[in-house]
Amino acid sequence: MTDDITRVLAALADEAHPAPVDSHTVIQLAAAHTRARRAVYTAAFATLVAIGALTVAIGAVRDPTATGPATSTTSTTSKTSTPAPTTKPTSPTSDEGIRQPATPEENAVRKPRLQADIIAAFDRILPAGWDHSTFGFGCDQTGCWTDGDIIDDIGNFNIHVYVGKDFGQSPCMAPSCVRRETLPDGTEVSFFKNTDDDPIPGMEPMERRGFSALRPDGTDVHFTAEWPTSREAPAVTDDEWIEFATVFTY
Amino acid sequence: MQPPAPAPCVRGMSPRDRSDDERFHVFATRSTASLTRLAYLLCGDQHLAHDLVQTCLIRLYQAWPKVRDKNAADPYARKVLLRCWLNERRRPWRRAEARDGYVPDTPAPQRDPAGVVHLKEVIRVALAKLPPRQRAAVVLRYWSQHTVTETAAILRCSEGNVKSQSARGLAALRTALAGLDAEALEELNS
Repeated sequence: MTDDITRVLAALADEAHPAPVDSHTVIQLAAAHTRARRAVYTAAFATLVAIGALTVAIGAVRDPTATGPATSTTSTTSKTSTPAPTTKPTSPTSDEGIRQPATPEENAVRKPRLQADIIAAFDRILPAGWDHSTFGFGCDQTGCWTDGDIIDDIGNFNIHVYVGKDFGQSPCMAPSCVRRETLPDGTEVSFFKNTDDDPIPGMEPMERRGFSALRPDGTDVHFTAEWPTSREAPAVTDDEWIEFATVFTY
Repeated sequence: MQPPAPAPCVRGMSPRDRSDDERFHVFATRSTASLTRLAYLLCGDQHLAHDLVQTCLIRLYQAWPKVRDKNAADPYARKVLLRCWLNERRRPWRRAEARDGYVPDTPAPQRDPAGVVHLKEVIRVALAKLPPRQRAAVVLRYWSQHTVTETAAILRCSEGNVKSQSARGLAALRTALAGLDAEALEELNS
């Protein structure tokens, strides 16, 4: 039944002249094709490796804490420092790494801990025989603070402390910023000292020592000690004030 | 006793036996004509047919060490050729290219006393109008004389698909041939 179609197709096929194909040339072309294909695969693999390495490098740059603690190059402090905390923050963070507001339950735990930290630091850093207030902390969703007096051999002077986290630290650019350094545990400190040159009428001019510090885990600490210019400065050195920078962990 | 000759290595390819190359030379010499006919029936163009055969032989040589069975070489070559043609058809510039079917130096059918030239032209045009896989099914079934099973294996589809494709293609060719001069068909048959 299909013989006629077969004959017609055969007649049409007979029109085709055999292709002038040289099998040696075919072999050379096949080898060239294989080399080209391997070159493409190699280039694709190399590109993937380069992209992977670049991704890892960018990730490492964006997360400096993953590369280990920073080393001190400019520190001149001589006393021991509290090691940087290695634990993650207790408060939850979102997927984007943005810190969530502290909950009342977290602050209920945090307040007595910070109070114990500062009392222990007073006992360790300040000269023996000095007295101090209770320094109870208050906290809100973003940070904790405390105010109190220290009584030395001369009289009393005021201490104010703020402890927070993940909200950054303004670098100390004012002329009163006398020292900027990195402590052995990686804490960055900007130390300042100033005096009220133009006091408010009716108010006693004050002299201040203090610092802003950023710890490797993100804790930022603002510490100020102030006393009236009419009294002698407390017998605490600048290095001893800076020691308070490593006391607090939010 | 002479030590065995080291395996020759074509640069860029894995080492292969010298007898493999000899077998390939023999096969290429023997099969080029039949592969060219098949390629011409599939694509309807002499030059493209030559290109397809060369591409087919290149692909075949890359897999040649695996083709140990002499009887399997021919069907495998036809399968490779068909894949080459279908791949060629999928290329965008092939889809964009439209032949008008009019070749100026082809004798006019009404001036061909025997009508054979007209017959070939009609069947060429009818084949060109068939979809690629339908055309392949017709050529493999009615020119290469492959069975339905073999055709299904070459086209990588079911036997039912081969039957339907070849039936539709056959019907289209018969419709094209219906209006032809019976004398031309007689002459062709003789």
